[in-house]
Amino acid sequence: MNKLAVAIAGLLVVSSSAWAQTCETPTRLFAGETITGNTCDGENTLPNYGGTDSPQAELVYYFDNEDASGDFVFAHTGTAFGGGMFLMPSPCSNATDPISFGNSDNPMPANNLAAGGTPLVNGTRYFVIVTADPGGPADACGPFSLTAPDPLPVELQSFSVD
Amino acid sequence: MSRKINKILGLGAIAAFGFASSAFAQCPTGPVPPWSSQSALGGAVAIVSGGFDGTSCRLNSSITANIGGAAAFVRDDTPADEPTYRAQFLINVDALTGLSAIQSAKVFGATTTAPFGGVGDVVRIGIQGNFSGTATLGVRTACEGQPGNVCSATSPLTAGVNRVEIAYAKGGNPSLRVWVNNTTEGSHTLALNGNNNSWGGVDFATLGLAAPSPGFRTGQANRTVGFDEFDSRRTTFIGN
Repeated sequence: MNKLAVAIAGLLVVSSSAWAQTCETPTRLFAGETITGNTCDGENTLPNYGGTDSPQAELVYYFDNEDASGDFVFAHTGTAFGGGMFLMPSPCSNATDPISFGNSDNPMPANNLAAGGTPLVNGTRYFVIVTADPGGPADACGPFSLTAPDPLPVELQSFSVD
Repeated sequence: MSRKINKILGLGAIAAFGFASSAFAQCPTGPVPPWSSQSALGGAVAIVSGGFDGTSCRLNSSITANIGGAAAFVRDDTPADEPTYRAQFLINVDALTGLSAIQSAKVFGATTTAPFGGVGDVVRIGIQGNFSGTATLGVRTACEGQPGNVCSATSPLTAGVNRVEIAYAKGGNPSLRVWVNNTTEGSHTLALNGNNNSWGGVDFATLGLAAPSPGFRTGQANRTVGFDEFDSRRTTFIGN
């Protein structure tokens, strides 16, 4: 009898690493996961998101879409710094316009369809960029938590065959 | 629309809005001349009555079609490899309701025909929303070695008419100064400083909506942004 044990990385609280989380080295998000971080640990490697100028530091996360739905939920975990997030399609680049956004007042739909846009494409990588309000001070940054919706792609943590 | 362009500059008087100083003057049927040309692909530009500073006419610009490359701007070809360039214009974005952080468009560009690193606009001024849906001015300039070879900044806009002035200097420190609703030369609103020596000087300028983001094209279609009193110079502060 085969046994398949799959554990999803759900409802975990993971502290994101302080090393640069850029378009080149983004951190993966998993379903239901809550990560914490501090955008003061990031750099302004994306001075603009397409036409949106963004002089604040950012941290870059990604997920490979598979029927994503629900909302990304952002929260300040210290002094509010006007933080929020953008959903950017591939490629992750300063030339790419984001397709959705959210902040502590307004969760960000994982699937752009909910925002009246086009649906996300399965099997395609998308990026979640956590930053401060682009219209705010350039040096605004701070600690936050980000909860990914479920479903997002699950993480295979163990697999065994008897 | 009474102010002429290039007052002192010596770039040549293109007098984009320099039609008449009388508030009762009839507006011209189009922006060319005095502008060198216009581009209205998926957009519309029009000279209409009702200027912003007691003047008679203004330029209206709107995006009308959800197509990539949609634009509605006028162009001034008077500059010629200008290492220093100043410009000022009035802008009113009140018709853009609920402008969000993913809705953006370029409204002014000072551009070189000798770009570097894929960047042609040595100065790019845009409009965008913030997280609260308030219109904000986006500012970008050439910065070799920075991500995308640009540096950026933003500045709040107020409701109604806003006065924007820029001063760009190749090899300058700072390389770009911007005044927003501020006519005091010694206290610019923001400055950016980057290595811009690899770019050519300013060869043309554009005013009006261009490069609208997908969100702008769908969310702000057929909404008008107004412009007035464009003025440009080589060196001296324009002010009020």
